[in-house]
Amino acid sequence: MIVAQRKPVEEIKRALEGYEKILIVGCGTCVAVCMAGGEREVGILASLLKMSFRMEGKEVEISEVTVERQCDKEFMQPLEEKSKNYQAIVSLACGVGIQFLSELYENTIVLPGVNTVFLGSNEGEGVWQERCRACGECVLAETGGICPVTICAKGLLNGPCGGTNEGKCEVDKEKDCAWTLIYKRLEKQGKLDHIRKIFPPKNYRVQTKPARLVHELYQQKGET
Amino acid sequence: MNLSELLNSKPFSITVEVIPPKGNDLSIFLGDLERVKGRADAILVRELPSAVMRLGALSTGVFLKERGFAPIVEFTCRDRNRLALQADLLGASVLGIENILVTLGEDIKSGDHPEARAVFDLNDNELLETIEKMRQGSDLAGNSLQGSPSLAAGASVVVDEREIERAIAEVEKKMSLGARFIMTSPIFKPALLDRFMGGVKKCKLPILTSVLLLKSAGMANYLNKNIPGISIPEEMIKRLLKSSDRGRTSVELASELIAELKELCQGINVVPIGWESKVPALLDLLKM
Amino acid sequence: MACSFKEAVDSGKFVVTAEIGPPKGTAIEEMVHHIDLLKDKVDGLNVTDNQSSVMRLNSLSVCHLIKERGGEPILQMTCRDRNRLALQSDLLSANILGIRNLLCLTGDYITVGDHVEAKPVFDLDSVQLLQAVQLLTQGKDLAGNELHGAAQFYVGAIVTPEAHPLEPQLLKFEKKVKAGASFFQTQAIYDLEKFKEFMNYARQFKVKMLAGIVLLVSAGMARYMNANVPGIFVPDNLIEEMSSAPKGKALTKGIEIAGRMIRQLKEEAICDGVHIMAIGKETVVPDILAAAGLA
Repeated sequence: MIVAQRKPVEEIKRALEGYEKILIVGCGTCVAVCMAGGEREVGILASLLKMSFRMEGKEVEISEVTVERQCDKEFMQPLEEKSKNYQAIVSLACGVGIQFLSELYENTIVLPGVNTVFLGSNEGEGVWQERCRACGECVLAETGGICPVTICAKGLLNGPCGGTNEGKCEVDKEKDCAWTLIYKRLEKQGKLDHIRKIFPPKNYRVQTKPARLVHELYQQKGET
Repeated sequence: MNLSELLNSKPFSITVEVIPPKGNDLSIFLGDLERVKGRADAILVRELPSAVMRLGALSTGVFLKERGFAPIVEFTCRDRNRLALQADLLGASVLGIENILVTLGEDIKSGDHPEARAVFDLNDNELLETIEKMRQGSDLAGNSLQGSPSLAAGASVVVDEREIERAIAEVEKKMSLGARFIMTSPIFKPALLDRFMGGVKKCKLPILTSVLLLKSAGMANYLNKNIPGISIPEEMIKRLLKSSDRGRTSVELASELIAELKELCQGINVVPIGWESKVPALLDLLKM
Repeated sequence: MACSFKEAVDSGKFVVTAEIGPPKGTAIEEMVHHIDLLKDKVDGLNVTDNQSSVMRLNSLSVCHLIKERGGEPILQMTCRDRNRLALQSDLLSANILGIRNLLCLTGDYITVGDHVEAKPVFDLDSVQLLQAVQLLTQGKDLAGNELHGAAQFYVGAIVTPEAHPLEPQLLKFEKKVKAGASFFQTQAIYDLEKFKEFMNYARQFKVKMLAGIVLLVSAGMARYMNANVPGIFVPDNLIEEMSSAPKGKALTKGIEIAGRMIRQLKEEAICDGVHIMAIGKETVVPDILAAAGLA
C-alpha cells in the first residue's frame, strides 16, 4: 500500500490563508489504513483547523467528506457538485489522489494535506516499512523475496559492499544489510546459486517519468 | 589562455568545436586539428554530446593542451553528481585547463546507453554557481578549499527567434551566476543575432555565436523540424539541394554567414559535426 | 619506476603499494612531495577517489601527475558519483593519459562525507564496473557498441578477509574474480593467523593478493577502528603493545608493528604483497619499509 503522513497542521493552515470555505476530503483506502487520511483523520484535522482559526478570530467554514478512493473517477463523481461550493479543498489522499482531484476540479484550489512517503507494508501497530521502489524490473525471484533496490542503501544488484558489518548497513547501524539478509534467506532455501551469477546493470529506462501502463486487454481496443 | 579575456581583447575570435572519439584512438582526431593549429583561437571539446559514451572532454582537453592547443572543456550535469563535478573541476584547474563551458546535457535516452541512470544532481545554473563559489575558495557545501581553482566558466544559451526575450533573460541569469562568456546555439540569420545582441549588450559578456556546417538539405530540414532554436533559411537549403559539391557549398554558406555575424559578436564557434576536415577550407575563405 | 605495476606483480616479487590522498583543493605541493618521496620506493601508488565521500581533487588528474613524475599510479574508481557513461568515459580518459592500473570499488555512502545532500549514483556496482573494464579491453562498451581502439587495463578490486559475517563477502569476492579482477588489495589486517586461513581459501583463484596494512598511531586509534570500521579487528595483544609504548613513541611502535607484519607476510610467502595505507602519515612509509626489511 501507499504510505503517507499528515503534514503539520501549521503548514496546511498557512496554505489555506485567505480561504473561508474549505472542504477536507479523505480517502478510505491506503491513507486510512496508515492513519494519515481516512475519515477519522479528516475529522481530527477539521477540529484542529477550526480551533486554530477560531483562536485567531477568523470565521472559516470547514466541511468534511471521505470517499472510498480518490484515484478513480467513479468514486469521485458524487463530489463534483459539492466541490463547487468551496474555495479550497484539502485532500488527505496520497499524491495520486491529490493530483487526480486537482485535475477533476480545476476551478477549485486543491491542496495536499499529507506527504506521500513510500510503498510499504504494515509491520505492527502503527508501524509501516518501505518495501518496494516500483523500479519496474523485479528481481525478487533471484533474491529470496528480499528487495535490494529498496533495502540496500546503495541499491546494489551485486552486493554486499565492504561497509556492511554484523549484518547491518554501513549507512545506519540500525538498518539491516539487504545482502546479508538475502544471503541468509537463500542459504536456508538452498538457492545461493541465484546470487552467484552476476546481475547486469539496472535498466533505468523502465523508470521513464511519468510512467504509463495500458493493460494488454485494452491495447487491442485502440486505447493508449 | 582565459577565453573571456581573449574575446574581449580583439575584434573577432574563432573557436572550433570537436567531439572526442568513441575509443582511445586519437590519431584521426588529432590529424584534423593539426591543420587548424595556430589558426583557431581555441578548441571547444564536447562532453559526451547526445549522451553517446566517448572519451571524456577533460582528458581530451589535457591531451590537446599538451600539444599546443587552447581547449575549452564542456561540463554537463547529466552524468556526474556534485562530488564528481567539483573533483573534476579541481582536476581541470590543476592540469591547466582554464576555460569551462557549462551545459545541462542532453537526454540519456537519446544516446547509446539509454538504460543508464541520469544524474542531474545539479542543473546548469547550480553548476555555474558552484564554479563561482569554488573560485572564491569554498566548495558547494561551504567547506574551505585548500587552493581555489582558476577557472573561467561560460554558459550556453539557446537563441530561438520565437523567444528572444527568454534568451536575453537567460544571459542575464547566467551572468549573475558568474558566467564569463556565452555560447549560443547555431544561428543562421544575422538579423536574429543582431536583435539578440541588442538585448544582451548591457550584460557586457562576450558572445560566441555557433555556426554549423550543414551537410545536406535533408540535415537542414531535420534540424529545423526537431531542434529548438534552429531556424535555417530556405535559400540556404535550396543552395545545398542544387549543389553538385555539397562539401564546398557548405563551407561557402558558413563563410558567408560568418562574414556577417562577426560584425555583431565577439567570436564564432564553428561546429563541424563530422566534417572537421573541412574546417581548414573554411578558415581559408575567412582568410584566417 | 623502472617497470609497470603489472610487470612487478608478474615477476613474482613481493610487491608494495601505497596511497596518495588528494587535497581538498588545488594546493598540490605537499601531495607532490609525498609522490616524489614514495614513487621509487613502491611498485604502485593508489590515488583515492573522493574517499569517505569527501570532495577532493580528482583521482584521474593526480594519477596523471604521478605518471608525469615517473611513478606508477593506480586509479581508484568508485561507483558512487558517476553513471555508466561517465565511468566508461573516464576509463578511456585514463588510458589516453597513460594510466593502466585500476582499482574498482563500490564507494562509501554519501552521508559519511561532506556533501550530505549529494545524489548517490551507484548506476553500476563494483562487479558491473569490473565487467565494463573487461569489455573496454575487448574494444566494446557496456551497451555492446564497438570502440575505435580497445583499452588496456590491469584491474583490481578489494576484499575484506575479516568481514562478519564472512560468507556473503566471499561470494562477492568470487564474483569480482569472475568479472575480471586480476589483483586484490584487502581491508586492513592485523591477525596473520586469520589471514592465513583466508589465503588458504583465496589461493585457488589465481589472483594476486596484497594485504592491507594500516599504520597504527595510537592504542586509541586501534580501539576506534575496532568499534567503528567494518572488517577491521586489531587483536588485544597489539592494542596492549601500542598502549605500553613509552610516551611520544606510539608512532614508532606502530611503524615497528607494521614492519613486523610485512616482514612475516613476505618471509612466509603468505600473500603476493602489501598495500600500505598511511594517509596523513605518508612521510613515514619509507620507515615502515625499512622496518620490514624492504627499503
